[in-house]
Amino acid sequence: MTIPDQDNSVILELASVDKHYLSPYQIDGADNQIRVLESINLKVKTGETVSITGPSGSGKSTLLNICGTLDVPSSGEVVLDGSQVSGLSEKQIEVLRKNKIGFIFQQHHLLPQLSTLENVLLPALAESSKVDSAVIERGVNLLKIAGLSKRLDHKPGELSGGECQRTAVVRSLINRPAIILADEPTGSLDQKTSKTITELLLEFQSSENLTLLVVTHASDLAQKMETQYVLEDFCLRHESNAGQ
Amino acid sequence: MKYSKLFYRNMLYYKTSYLTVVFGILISFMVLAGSLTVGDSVRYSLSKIAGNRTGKTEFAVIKNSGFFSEQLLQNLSSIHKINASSVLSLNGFAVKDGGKIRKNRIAVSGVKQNFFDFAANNNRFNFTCTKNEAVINRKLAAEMNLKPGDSLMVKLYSKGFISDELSITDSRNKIIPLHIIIKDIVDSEDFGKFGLNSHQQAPLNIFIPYQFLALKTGLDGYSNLILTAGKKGENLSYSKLGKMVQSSLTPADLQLTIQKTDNAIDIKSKSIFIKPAISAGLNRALDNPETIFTYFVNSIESKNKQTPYSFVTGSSRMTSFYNLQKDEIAVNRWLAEDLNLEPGSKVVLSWFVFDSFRKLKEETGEFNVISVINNDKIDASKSLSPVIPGLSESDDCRSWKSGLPIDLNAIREKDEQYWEQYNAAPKAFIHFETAQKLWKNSSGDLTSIRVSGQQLTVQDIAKKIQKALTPEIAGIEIRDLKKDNANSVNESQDFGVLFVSLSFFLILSSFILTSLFFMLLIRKRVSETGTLMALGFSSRQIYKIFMTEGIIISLFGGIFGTMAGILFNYAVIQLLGSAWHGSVGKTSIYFSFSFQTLLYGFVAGVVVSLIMLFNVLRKNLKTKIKDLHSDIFYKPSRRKTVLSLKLLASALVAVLIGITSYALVSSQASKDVSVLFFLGGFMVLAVFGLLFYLVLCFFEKPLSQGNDSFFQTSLIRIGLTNCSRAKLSSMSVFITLSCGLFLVISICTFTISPVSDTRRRDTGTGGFAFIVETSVPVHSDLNVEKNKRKYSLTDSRFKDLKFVPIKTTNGSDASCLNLNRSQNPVIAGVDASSLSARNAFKFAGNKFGLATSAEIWNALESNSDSNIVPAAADLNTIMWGLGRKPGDVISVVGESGEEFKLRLAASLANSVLQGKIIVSQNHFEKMFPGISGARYLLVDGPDDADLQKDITYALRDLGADVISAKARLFEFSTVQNTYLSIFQIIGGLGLVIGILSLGTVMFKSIHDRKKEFAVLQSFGFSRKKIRSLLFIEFGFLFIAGISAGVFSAFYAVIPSIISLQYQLPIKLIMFFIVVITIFGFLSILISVHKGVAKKNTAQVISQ
Repeated sequence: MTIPDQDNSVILELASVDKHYLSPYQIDGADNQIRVLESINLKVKTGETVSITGPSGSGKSTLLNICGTLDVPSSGEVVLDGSQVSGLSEKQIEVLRKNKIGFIFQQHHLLPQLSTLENVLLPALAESSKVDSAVIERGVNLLKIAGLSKRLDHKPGELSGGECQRTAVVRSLINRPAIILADEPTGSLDQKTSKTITELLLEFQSSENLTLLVVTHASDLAQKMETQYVLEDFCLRHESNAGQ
Repeated sequence: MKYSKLFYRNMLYYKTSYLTVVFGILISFMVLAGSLTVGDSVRYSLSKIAGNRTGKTEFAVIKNSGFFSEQLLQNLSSIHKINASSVLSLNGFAVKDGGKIRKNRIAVSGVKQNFFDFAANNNRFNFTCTKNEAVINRKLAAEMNLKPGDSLMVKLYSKGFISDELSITDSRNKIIPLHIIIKDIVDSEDFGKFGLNSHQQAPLNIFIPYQFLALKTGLDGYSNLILTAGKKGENLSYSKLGKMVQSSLTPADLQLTIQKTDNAIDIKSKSIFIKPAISAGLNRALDNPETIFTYFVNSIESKNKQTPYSFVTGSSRMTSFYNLQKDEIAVNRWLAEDLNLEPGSKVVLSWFVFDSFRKLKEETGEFNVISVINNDKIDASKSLSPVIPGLSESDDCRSWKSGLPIDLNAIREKDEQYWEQYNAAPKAFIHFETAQKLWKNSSGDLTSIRVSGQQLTVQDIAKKIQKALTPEIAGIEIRDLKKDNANSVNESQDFGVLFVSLSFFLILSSFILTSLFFMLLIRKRVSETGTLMALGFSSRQIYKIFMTEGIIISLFGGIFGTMAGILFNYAVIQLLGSAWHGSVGKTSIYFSFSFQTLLYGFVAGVVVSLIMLFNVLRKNLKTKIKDLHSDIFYKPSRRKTVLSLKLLASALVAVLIGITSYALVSSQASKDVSVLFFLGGFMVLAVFGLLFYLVLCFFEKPLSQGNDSFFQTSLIRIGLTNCSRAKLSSMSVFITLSCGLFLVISICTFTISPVSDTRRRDTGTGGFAFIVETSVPVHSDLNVEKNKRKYSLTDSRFKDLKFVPIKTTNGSDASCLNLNRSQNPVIAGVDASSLSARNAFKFAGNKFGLATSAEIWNALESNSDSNIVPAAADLNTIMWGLGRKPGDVISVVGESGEEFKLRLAASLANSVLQGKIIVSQNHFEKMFPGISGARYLLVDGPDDADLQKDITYALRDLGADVISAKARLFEFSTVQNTYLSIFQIIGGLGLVIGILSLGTVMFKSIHDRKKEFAVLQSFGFSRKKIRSLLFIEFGFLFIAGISAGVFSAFYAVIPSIISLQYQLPIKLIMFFIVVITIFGFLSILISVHKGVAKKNTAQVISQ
């Protein structure tokens, strides 16, 4: 395995990444190793929008988790914004995650005890013990763009699914991350709401000059991304570029 | 947006969950802090009682044997200007209604007005009694139903100056009846509980005007106790008082009389004999005076001629004057003529020596006559004889009143003439050292000291003697009562620590419950934790959030719990005053607490709860971020872990088999076997725990991995699999249930039941049927026929009775009935051969390396280590009463101030002799020669209640209480049994906590799986089937916990089951198990029924 050359325009690179699990159970004499990913190679440029699709259980979320340092590959290398993740300490990874990555999950995972605005500002609290007024202003503005200006003080239980997911999108942007990783952001939404979320994502990507990596099995969302990959039979296959 | 806002929002949102955690913390703190403050209540009570007992008295000046003169008091008050009040302190018993109501062992004190100045109450009790009026304390008033105006007959034992061990005086007039009128009843604060010995039980007190009592007892001008305290603003110290007492002593304080005779000054004793310590002091003070030992001999015989009842003197001056050798004698002419003696003749003297319990042994000695003294010297020698009451003042021999068996028929006319002319003048002189060797006894080794040939007055001699006197020589003890009180309270059993120990399972269960609640809360927020991590929060920051919340609830719960601890303390005190009275010797315990103790409890609780919370966080935040969003906590057990546990379980079983075999065949003391089985019970519990865990591991295997078993696709299998998916919760429930039940049942094995066969010598009664405790010492051997006649014990009913008398000091009880730490424990002296002949009592251990009780008793007579006296004591006395361990050496001050070292070489196993330190009678008499007679007797005979009453009646003039030995032993056992029942009750509360844990797990499980049940219903599961599933799951947990607890407990109580001595309360235990089981199953049924209620399935699924 070779360490990839640093390309300044590449924000995220996976090189020969493998992922497998060891099952605690022996399955009829067969090997108890469960393969998930094999020889994954991926380069995402700064400002690029990328989608990864694939059938259910293909390892898309696992791949996204590895990209976002939420999981560790069995072998291979992950380079995020020029930093080789395997060579970093736990603390350095936390800093990297805090400053460079924004996550959007399929289940919004908003904290039910915090209001919309507070949920959005939560990542900023990871940075310092008190959130700056400038950050608060940014949060309010982003929520305005997301159409939630009248819902700032509402709790997640008082919002619709779409509104929760829009809040989750805004939350991922508050710390000005280098890359947004979205795991099935429209997975639990209806078509209309999914469209709203997709448009919002693209709008923010454009206005904030974000890199966006989306894992989805929604084809309409996938097709709106510049570069499309398919994850199938443990391997990543380049599907197409936008317009191609 | 600040962290504080996050904490506030978190805690508000999860308030229900946090309240359950707070509840658990509150219980833990309440029990912990409450238990510790129980110690405060007990200490406060003991201090209060001690304070009432001695009031403002700082030091007590005590004459343990004998009396000191009132001059000592006057010198202390007027010369040294300290507050002092003398007391004539005697023992007696009281009789009312013609003997129908009797109360024995009453303290009768002759007091003066200023006595009550020393009471704790600043408003002095007005003591206005005159003549035969008296005040009594509330306890006596209650027990004899007395009120002011009532009359009472009090019979006092008046020791007098002469030891009752000596048969030389007639003992019949020692019991003095007093007819008194009750004038008032005095409260505790007014010295109603007055007493010098540290015990929480009030003595029975009667206070009579000193003058009246002193006159009635012939002790006018004497007392045996002085209470002292410094004047206001002045410090009175032990050494300062010692010097004051020393400089205030007069010869009268030693019962010495100084008389001028023709050409000499004689110093004699009212006690007839002068003690060695005093005679040594006098020798030093008077610069080699003449030392004299004059003795009353039965006869002087020569060649079949006999002179009866004469005085013979050993004198240091005569020894050197006549150059007497040790077997030589100089006789006066009167005797020489009576027996035809001349130098070279031989004479045989016979005399009685005094043994314990007024036993007399006649001894003889042969002497060679070396000189005949002219009769003109006889007059001068009159004063050489001591003053013997009953003899010396008699006008003639036939009027002699003596305790000695004098055959008046042997007295001839010429003897009467001699007496009339020469009175007690000695008829012969022997070597002084020979006289000492033959006739010295427990009362002394001299009868007088003579200073002659000097121009000295009586006052000069008195001054010389005074300078040489010390409190030790005078047999005076100075006791620092304030220090004694403080020590007896501070060194007493710490009830705070005791109750924490008794409650430890409840505290542990509460903390386990708290951990469970907190863990459930953490797991509830696991997704939130994952989100925070994904958003960039570090592990440390997340820990900080949860720990801060944990600290807040610990402090919140802790503060309220600690305050609730005050209520717990109060509740325990109420119980100690009622149902648990037996554990505190039926003492009134007053409620009290100190903020310092509460703080200790609070801090300890906070530390433990934070450790526990941190531990829960550490275990539950280890999971990877991606798993946190999946709510995956379930991790199948590793094969290595399962294998290790199997090996461990096997090892434990092997050890258990070994322990069981050893214990069953062991010939060790039953207590050791009980402990072995109890520990074995814990191992059985551990094995069950491991097996339970292994069962959980077995059922966590997916169906394809599982064995082809009966359960494979059954409802039971699914139910048990659900248990194994929440192993931590399941184990928590199992542990609290099984441990709680184990402890509550198994502790029964240590309960002491009444001895079934009291005739067995190897029991705590020693095979004795009764214990007799008298107000008046028994000076005679009650096994001798003539003495039995004196007390009407000759009837056939009493023919099988055998008495073992035990001499005792007037110390404080060191048994478990005394909550105080005894500062001067009772020392008891017993004829070791009488116990060894019976092989009586069972010893828990001994340092002699001996096997039988008989050998151990005999070993108490040994003198192998100089100055170290071997002693025996009940193991409970050694460990709890004295706070020592077997083999320790303790110091005891003898009668003459000399320090003796006692080695606790043998420990008795749970006996009626608890509370005393036992030495051989010989050693006892060396330490306390002035203590005559026995006030504690063991009685062999049939254990019959009617016989008990008959003995009580027969010994009524001794003020005797006759107690069944079995009952006394059970009284001691009550203390331990009460502690055990307290442990069981509190442990039972811990068991309730265990059931609460099960309830919590059930509630949480049902609540969190509502969607799951709805999905099952959508597949066609009926509500009944779902309830069955849950019933199996929770029922399994419950049955496993209960079964493990019960089986382990029954293992632990095997020794009790097979022992003949103990009857396990099977019915009570079964009742308890049935109640717990019914309660548990009912809880499961109700929870399951309510949890799976009719609801809109689709609605639930879509939530």
